[in-house]
Amino acid sequence: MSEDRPPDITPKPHQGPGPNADDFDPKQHVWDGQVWWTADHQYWWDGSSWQSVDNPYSAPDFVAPLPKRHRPPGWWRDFWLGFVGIIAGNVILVILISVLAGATNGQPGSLVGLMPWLLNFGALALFAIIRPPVALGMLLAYGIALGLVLLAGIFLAIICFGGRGGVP
Amino acid sequence: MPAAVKPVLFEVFGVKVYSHPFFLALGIVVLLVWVAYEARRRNWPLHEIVPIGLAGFVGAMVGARLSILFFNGPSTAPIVLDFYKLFDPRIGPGSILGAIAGAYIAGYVASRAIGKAGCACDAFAPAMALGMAVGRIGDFLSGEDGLGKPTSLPWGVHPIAGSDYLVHPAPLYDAGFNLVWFVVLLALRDNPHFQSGRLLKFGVAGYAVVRFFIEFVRNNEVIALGLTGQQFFCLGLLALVAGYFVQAQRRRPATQVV
Repeated sequence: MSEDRPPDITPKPHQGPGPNADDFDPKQHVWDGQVWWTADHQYWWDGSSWQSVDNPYSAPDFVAPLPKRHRPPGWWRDFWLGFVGIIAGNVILVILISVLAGATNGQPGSLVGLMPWLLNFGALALFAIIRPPVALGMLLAYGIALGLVLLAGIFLAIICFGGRGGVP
Repeated sequence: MPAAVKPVLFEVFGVKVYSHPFFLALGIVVLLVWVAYEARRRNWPLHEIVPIGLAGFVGAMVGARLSILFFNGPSTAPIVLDFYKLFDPRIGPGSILGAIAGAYIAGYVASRAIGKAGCACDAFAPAMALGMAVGRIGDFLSGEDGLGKPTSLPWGVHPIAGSDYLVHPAPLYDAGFNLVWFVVLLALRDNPHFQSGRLLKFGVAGYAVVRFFIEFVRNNEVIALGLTGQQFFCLGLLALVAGYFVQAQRRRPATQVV
């Protein structure tokens, strides 16, 4: 007795390369000004995978705000740890460098001079890999500090790096 | 003859507001506002655009400063290599070319670190051009680097009050181009061939071409072959972008759907 199973009419998901893939070919796809479509207009790209036309895309002009993203527990603690930690770490580093400079008559040495670069960006890279919220907190601290520097500069006669190889 | 430059823009209760940092800050604000608008238009979530934008800003500041070592030579090392001088508001941030490279690298790394699908960088292309157009007004008003080389062209300007010669208003050439480039990039932003990072690469390449030629009327230091460090940097940027587009063309399958 043969099995009378109804034919599977569920549309197969499209597995082709997305617009962010190296082998994506724009000429085989259609851009409607908002999203990419496959040439047969059966699938559209949602930013991470192809969606069937049955799952309709409503082109947003200015859409409602995206739903709030839920952070995993401890995310904000890590974030603020990164923010405060990098400020405190640099204050300690400045004190350490000035103590070292004092001990060597104001010549702290090139390795000590490079230490802040290595420690700051080394820590940023390390935390970006092992604990991204910490790295994001550090990034915010740098961003605020550099933003304040730019704003403070408005009221100061700043020296620029001269075009003929010197400072200013 | 009165000078075209105006280093102090205005005074508020006796406090001077300087034109160079004022327009620099205004340019960055304009850039960020445009990126926010573009991100909203493209429906990019805040948790993606904020870390990428932050990383881009920090990368731009670091890149601007470090690139000075290449453009202006080792005499700048004591300031450039001092990490904490990055936070000294009395020192100018550095070069816009270094800022572009730094922002691009940092934004790319952040984008990969947060696992963003696709590329957010196209939102930065028109914004960057508009921000630079605004920022260059400050360079002109502060008479940065003596504005440009002497010229007898009718639009030449006096670099300092009482000077008996005219110079190229080089920062205004830059600002004018960036304004036009902003409109071009705006027109291309929804073109299917300028998606997934291609618009930003095209934008950077366009600026590099024009900046290469503007350098001939600026006062930057020639380092070799009659070219400035900035011109070598532009050539390097163009080579990288050209390499990317050639590679992308090769990867494209030969068959095409009509």
